[in-house]
Amino acid sequence: MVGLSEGERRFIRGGIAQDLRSDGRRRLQYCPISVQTGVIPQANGSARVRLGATDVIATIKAELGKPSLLQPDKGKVSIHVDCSPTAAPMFEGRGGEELSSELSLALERCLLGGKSGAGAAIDLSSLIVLDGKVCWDLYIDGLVISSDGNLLDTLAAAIKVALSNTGIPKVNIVYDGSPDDQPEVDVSDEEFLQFDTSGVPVVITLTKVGKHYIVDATAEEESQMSSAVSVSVNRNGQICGLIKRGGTGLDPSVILDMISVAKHVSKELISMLDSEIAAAEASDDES
Amino acid sequence: MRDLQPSLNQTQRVRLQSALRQLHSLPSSSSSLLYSVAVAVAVAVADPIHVNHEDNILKGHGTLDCDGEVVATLCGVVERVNKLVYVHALQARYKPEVGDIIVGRVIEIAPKRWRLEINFSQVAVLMLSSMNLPDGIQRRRTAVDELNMRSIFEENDVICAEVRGFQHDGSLHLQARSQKYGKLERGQLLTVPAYLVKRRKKHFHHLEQYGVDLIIGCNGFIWVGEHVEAGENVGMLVEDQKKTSIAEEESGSFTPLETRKHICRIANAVRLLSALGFTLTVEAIVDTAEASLASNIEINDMLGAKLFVQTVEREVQRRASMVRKKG
Repeated sequence: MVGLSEGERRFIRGGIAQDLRSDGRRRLQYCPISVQTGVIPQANGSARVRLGATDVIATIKAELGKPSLLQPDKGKVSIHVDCSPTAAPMFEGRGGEELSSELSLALERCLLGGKSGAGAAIDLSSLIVLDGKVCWDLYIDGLVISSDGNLLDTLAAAIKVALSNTGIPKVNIVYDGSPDDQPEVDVSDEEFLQFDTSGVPVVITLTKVGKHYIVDATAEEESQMSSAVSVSVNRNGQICGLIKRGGTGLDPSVILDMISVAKHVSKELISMLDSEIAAAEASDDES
Repeated sequence: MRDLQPSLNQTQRVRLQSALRQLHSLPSSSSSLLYSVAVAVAVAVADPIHVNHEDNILKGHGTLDCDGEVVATLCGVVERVNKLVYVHALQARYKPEVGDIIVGRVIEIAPKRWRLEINFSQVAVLMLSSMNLPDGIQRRRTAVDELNMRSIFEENDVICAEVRGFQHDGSLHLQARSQKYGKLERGQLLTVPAYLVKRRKKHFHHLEQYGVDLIIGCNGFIWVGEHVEAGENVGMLVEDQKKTSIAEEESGSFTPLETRKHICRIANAVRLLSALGFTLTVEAIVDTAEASLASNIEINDMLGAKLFVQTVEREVQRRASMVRKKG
């Protein structure tokens, strides 16, 4: 990211204070969202989401595996994010690893819920094929193609859309032998199990600059932030995850205020994403 | 069209397609109207160029002699000037000339000079001797002046300067002696492809009706900011400027909201025109901003579908009326 002069920084801070950012948006306004589904046909589900200049692709791949011994009635989900060097020169080689692992961890916290699987966006029990023997392993991958701030929100939105586009093949157990052997399975090519993504939460990142919060910060505005709070909210207004970044300390009342602002903004984002998902599904059905 | 891809509905898509088709059929610049006899030949890499081999044709930039045939090595338009045949690339990197007005960003402070990034293949150099001292006196630069360079321009400062000349290794030398050059504050810097900015007589524009300064750098860096009288901040050193700016921030007096709205509107007009690939002239930018005001489009909606299609259609009308005037 190129540096900013003192005059430019003051201009950005002044804009945020006066509720008119550099591209004319208000503080709590999102950039135009553009959503495409099914961009990677080899994956079980995929989506590409563009939020302003930030561009990410999320893919979901499902493979048959063995459930863990501690939770034999649940499938497994793992999330991994990769920052491509095309997004920024500093991501070349191993430069993007720190950011990638931070984003992966944040997404796992927001979308996967606790250790027991409670509160997860995806119902893990729906991924089981045969208790204790066969389950579906979901591998969720995010790829950042172009980075202009607000990566967490965009990745969470892309995962939500990709999940709506995912089809898990139906599995028939052919032969279930002794308890120790792996049963033979027949993976159907035609019947698919779709996910209901109305329960998947979205992530709203509120960046605090000066005394005000903004939503959907660009990379320039993020360079001016004192701290940022990312709140994961689902359709019922419940908080599914909370992450704070940035070195500046925050008063607890400020955090509570940011959470309520995030809940308010999330309604708009969820409805925007749902309408885009419906439009994408409609165009898929047509073609 | 780059980057910007607003989601168009069906009618808007149809309107856009028809407008683009009309643009392709109309001749784009006045020069091609004068030489309307010769049709502009577009070539891609490895396309052969038709030449009469008996004349001693000089093979210029972008051509290569391949087995006796003249072949293009760039994508562009073939130009012929007397005996010289060359390929004029349409999307080339910025090519500086002496006297160009440039907007650049300081990336390094070196002994007796500042190094600026200007969207060129090399870094441009602004010598300490090519810059007015804060006290305005013409004198020899001493070692103390050299130590105080950071008080004039810091790293990451945005500066407006003029190209003074080239060095033997091809890098640029800049000068910022006049009052109108110097540090740019209170605004935003936009980057557009350099080929969209043509050389004109005036690059500094003070839009009086908006109170906004618009500096169109030939290198593709465009500065949109609050209007500053030339020479207002020249005498101030960086520490004094910082003190006044902190005092300003605490009292809450930033750029006034009206001026800020105009700055954002002009900036969005520049972004829209650069996404469409239209040449950036003051008239085009101001026309787009006024059209958005006339259509009651919000500032943040300026990059949306409505103004997108409207701007292309207006450009079609403008070029059609130009053709009618000439023809």
